[in-house]
Amino acid sequence: MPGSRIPSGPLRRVAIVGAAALLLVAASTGYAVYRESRAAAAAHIPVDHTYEVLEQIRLVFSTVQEAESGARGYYVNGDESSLDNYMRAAGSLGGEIDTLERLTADNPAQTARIATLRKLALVRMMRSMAVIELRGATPEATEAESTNAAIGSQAMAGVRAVVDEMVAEERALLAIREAAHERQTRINLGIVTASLVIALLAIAATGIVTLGHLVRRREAEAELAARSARLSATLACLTQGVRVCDADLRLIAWNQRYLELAQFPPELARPGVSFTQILTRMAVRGDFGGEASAEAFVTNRMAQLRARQESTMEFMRTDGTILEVRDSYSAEGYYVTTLTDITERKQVEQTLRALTAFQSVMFDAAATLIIVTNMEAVITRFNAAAERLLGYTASEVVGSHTPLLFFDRDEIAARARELSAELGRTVEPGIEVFRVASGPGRPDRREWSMTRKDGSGVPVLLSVTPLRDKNEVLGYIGVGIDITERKLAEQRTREGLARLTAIYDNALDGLITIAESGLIESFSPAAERIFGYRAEEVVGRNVNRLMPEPYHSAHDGYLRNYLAGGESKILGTRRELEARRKDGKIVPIEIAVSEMWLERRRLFLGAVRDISERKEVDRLKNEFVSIVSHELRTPLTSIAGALGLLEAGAVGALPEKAERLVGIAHANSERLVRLINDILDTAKIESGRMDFSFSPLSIRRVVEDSIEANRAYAEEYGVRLTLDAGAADGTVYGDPDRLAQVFTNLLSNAVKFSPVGQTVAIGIERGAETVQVSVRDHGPGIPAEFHSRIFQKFAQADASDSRRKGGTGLGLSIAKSIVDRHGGAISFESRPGQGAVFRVDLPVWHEDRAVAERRDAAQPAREPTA
Amino acid sequence: MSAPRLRKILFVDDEPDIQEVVGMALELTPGLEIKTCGSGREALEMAPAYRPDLVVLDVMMPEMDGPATLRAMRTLPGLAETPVIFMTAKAQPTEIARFKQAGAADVIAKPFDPMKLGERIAGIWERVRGRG
Repeated sequence: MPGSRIPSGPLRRVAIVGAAALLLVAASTGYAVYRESRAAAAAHIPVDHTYEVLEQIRLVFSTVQEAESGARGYYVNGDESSLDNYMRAAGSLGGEIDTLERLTADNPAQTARIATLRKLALVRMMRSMAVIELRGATPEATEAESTNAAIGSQAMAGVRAVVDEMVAEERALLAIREAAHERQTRINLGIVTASLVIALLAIAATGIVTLGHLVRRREAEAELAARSARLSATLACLTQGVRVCDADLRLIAWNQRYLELAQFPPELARPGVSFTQILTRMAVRGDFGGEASAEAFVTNRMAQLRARQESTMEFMRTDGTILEVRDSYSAEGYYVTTLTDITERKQVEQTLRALTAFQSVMFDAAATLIIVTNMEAVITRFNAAAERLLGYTASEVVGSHTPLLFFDRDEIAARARELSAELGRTVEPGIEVFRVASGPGRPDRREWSMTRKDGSGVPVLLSVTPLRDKNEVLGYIGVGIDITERKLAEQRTREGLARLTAIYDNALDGLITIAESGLIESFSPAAERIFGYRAEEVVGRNVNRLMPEPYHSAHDGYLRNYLAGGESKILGTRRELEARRKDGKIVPIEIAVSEMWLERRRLFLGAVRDISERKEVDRLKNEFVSIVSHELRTPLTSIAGALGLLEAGAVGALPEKAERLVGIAHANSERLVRLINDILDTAKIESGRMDFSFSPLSIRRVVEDSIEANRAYAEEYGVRLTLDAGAADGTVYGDPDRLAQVFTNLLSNAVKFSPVGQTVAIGIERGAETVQVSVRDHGPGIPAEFHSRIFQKFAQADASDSRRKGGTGLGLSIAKSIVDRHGGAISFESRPGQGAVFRVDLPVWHEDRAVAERRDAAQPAREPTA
Repeated sequence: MSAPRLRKILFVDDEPDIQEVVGMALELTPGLEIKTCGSGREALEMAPAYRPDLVVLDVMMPEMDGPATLRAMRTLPGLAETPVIFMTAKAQPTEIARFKQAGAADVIAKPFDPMKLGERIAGIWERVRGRG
């Protein structure tokens, strides 16, 4: 473990001397022992050899004996195993003798004896062989063998003798050799013993001298180890990574956290590794970006460290973790670097910065005025909207004023009185009114007239809330909006409403609104006058009480039908109906009903006009017209009649000039009659009182009658009236007299404008749904500029025409009205100089369709009346 | 058996000028005899004695108008079925229909062509007689 120390001082010297002495003794003793041991070993080798030779001699002799006994056993018993024993012994004997010869090669006497032994052993083996072969042989052979046996016995004796000699020789050698070995061993023991004594003495001496030092050193080491353990434990517990390098920037200590944070290459985590090497490894790994930047980083980092200045830097790991790297340096020259993971802190800081920036932006971007004060009500913040609204800059008011600067003294006083009454205690007129009125979660929200720097007032809706941190009030915040616009809008609304109310109250038309239920919701003063009810008598009641039968009973049905998606014939139009007043009187009314939505509620608005007066005027007018027509016609009847009789010579012939004058008077009296007739017709048409008597009729018949009626008139003008040969016919539903009036008008016009001798051609054409009557003349045609107003009243191409042609200027207008009432159309086509053609199209009458229409007409009316 | 010829006409109108013109006009037709009077009342007094073949009544007259005179006349002896023609300055189709329903044989609009009046009345009379 790092931190162990080499002892120094006297202890060191004693240790050195002691160690030297010990080494000397040990060396010399060692050498002596070595030398003598070598000698002893050398002495011991021949002894061992002798034992070996003796063992081999015994083996050879034993083998010879085994062969012998094997052969004999076989010969006597025929035992095959005996034969095997012989064979094995015979086989190994040669090798064993060779081994013995090798072992004794250093002794010539023994080598000679081995040669003899080999010969004798051979003889003996051959003899044994002979014995084996005798087994089962002839008696003669056995006889011969007996001689042989003697030879074998002699050989065996020889072998035993040689072996004995050899054994004796070896034993003599052994005795000599063992004596030599023993002597050498004794010498060795002496040397070793002496050396040991000397060494022990030296060790003892050294030990005595150094023992004290060793004890102290043990204690110091223990303390160091404990301190080191403490340090290790402390380092291990740190959430920071710590690395210590020595003065040469070599790693000497670190903690686990350091390895983690630095993502330290594990194979380099050992003492003594150079920091340069570590950085380089990290750079290669890509910790510091690309090659160029990594190189620069390593260079800078090393320079930074070597500068030995306390410094802190931030480092972002490739995985995004942000480390704070703090370098410090000890007086002893150590480099201590700590790593702290500040990723989270950085994120919090960043969020906080963003929030602060956001708050700041919001504060100034807000359209609402924001004023913050401290506990003493001194303004601490004043946003841009407040600057704009009040005309002060933040620097003018922050830290120097209270918000009272912006309030009207009287308004504050009034508020103080109000609060005093409310709370039952005195509230001072001042900033107190805001403090008292607002509370936690209870902002004081009200309209104030704030005062601008220029003295003008501005209506502000201000909300004041205490600014709290837990339970401590830190100050107050006021948030306000300029409600000038709203105030103006309110005023405008009030004024608008007043105007509308005035209109509503003073309108001549009665205005009634009803809900979908048919109940009256509002009833204007004019409606009160028309119906004789006061509003409170009818509001909330069904509108049908204002209607006479059959509408009274049918109205709820109309309304339901319409609300269910049916059509209404009254919405968006004006209609004349009858109303029932409170006094039961039925009055004619004109009503316009419209639909309106209030929020999501549908209402119907009826504008009712009492037309009794108008009706009366109409009646009087018609009566007047009627009277006038009678009163004019009566004298005209006499005049025209008298003139007619005169002109016709009923009272005899008149002088020529008188006859001419009577003719003029008669023609003009007739013209006056026509004019009166047309004026009356026009009046009736306009008042909607022209009577029609409809029935299905043949149009051809009407046309033919009209032609006949006008034939005499045409002849006066020298014009012929002709019905086209191919003229068709069609049934139309019409008034024959009114249709005759139309055709008479067209024919008389055509005649009037035709040159003498010309023809007016009348045609009838039948279409699918219409029948067309055309009247074509060959007159001068109708000037283009007159086309657009030809059917207007008193419309004549030339004002002088009416006199010259005796027309009234009302004929075509009346004709058009009559045709319109028949559901038809009248048109013309003309080019100046080429005559004109007038066409009347009338719908063809269908029996079945007409029946259906009459049936429908018999049903009750289906029109809502309100 | 041919129908008896129209001979006696009673003309009733409150306007003397018209009485005169009508009288002169009808005199032009040979064989016609005409009496005129100025009110319904006069007509009712005169008619039973005169026994006209045909009566021409103006509609608008003071006191007793044409239709009222007609109704009264029908109660008189010998006048229950005498043809009556209304003469009016207000000849609207609906009114014509109404008059016919009230018992008028026909309606002649004022003003009229005096030279054709006799012929017109004779036509109506013959139509009514032929039918009846």
